[in-house]
Amino acid sequence: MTREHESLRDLIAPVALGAAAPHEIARVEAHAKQCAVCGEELASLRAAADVLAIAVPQHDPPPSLKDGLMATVRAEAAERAGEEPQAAPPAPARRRGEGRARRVFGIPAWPAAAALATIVALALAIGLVVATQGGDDGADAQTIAMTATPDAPSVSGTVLYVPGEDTAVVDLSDLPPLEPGDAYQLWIIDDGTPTSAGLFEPTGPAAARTVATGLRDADALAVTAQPATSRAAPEGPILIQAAL
Amino acid sequence: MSADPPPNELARLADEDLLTLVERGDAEAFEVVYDRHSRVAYSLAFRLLGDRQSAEDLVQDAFLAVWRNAAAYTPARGSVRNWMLSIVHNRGVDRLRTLAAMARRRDALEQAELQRPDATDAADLGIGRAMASRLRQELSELPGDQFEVLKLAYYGGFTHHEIAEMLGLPLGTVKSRMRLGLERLRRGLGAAEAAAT
Repeated sequence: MTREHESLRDLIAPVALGAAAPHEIARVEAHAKQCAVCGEELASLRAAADVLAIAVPQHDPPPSLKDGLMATVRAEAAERAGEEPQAAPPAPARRRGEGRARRVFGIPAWPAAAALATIVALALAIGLVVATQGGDDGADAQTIAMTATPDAPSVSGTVLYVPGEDTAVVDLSDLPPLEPGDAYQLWIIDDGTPTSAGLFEPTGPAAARTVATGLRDADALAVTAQPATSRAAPEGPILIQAAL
Repeated sequence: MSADPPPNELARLADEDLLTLVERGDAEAFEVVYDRHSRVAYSLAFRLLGDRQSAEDLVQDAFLAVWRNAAAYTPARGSVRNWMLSIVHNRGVDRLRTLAAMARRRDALEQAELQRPDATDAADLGIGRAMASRLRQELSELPGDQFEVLKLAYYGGFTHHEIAEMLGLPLGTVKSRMRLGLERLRRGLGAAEAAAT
């Protein structure tokens, strides 16, 4: 643990500057949650890096930027207010994108959590490519190819899974565009039960990256696209998944 | 929703409270957040990407992410402004990395500004004149080798591996310069905060 601590401590400054690789960021952030010394160090160096963010020549954004942004925001606010009186929406109701398929491998995707167990079994049966990561990333890091579903056959993705750090970095490409108000959501599947690992947005053209921790009992990871406001339960179709 | 403050009171709320309203879908609260932080966000985006259109696209994406996922904010990451700037920075760096080859990015970075960033507009940054002055001093006194590494990392979007290769330095040296530079800025931040109180 001490060697691990020392090697990760060395990476805190690059991580604070956003100048580390995704798997390095994931490892440092996971370690910082458990190690008070590194947690404080990371927070403190990030605060220092923020000086660089504010120490640039200041420019006014054009008014048109605010106009366009607020038009989208108000439209989405009105839509949210009109359709969601706080309670969970009834299962058959779909806010928009009625044409969007909601079936995975011929099984209604949600809310039937049991379907996930089937998906995991299928993914395992199909045979996932597991390669051991070389280099100094940690001897136990694995790169796992994700499996697209018929709902989004073009999506591709990999999971860089580091069991020793209890961390996975999910990299996705060729994602379908999100509908207004939607976000991608990562799910950790344990014994057929999905738990949210957080919403995320595209980080590049049709591409996204997100990080999950708390995977020790997980059987699989799955990604959905669904309303950004409903976080507790999967709602949209599964786009891609991986067995761990 | 009945507990929502009227718009004219929103401007008095702290960012954290505004974000709670944003999470519930309050567009007026979001507008206050935008008005407070869009200038510094846009300036960072402009500094990173170097042209207005790209900066506008980046700021729009970042603020939409804040609007759609305000619940992701955690005080552990620092202030709301720091969190939003980190969204702008992360997405900006992702774009830099997909946009251009390393050599082109470096050329663009060198052409953009060789002078040190200037901690201007203290009032806009909400940090007070004394603190802005102190931060400006810290940046100007940063040793050149540390400043170069911080600049390549933060404004150029290069990783520590890329910087080591680019400058022909051992990786350990690059990481050490990053740490020393940031520690110096941190001490400056502490001193500036003390001077401001």
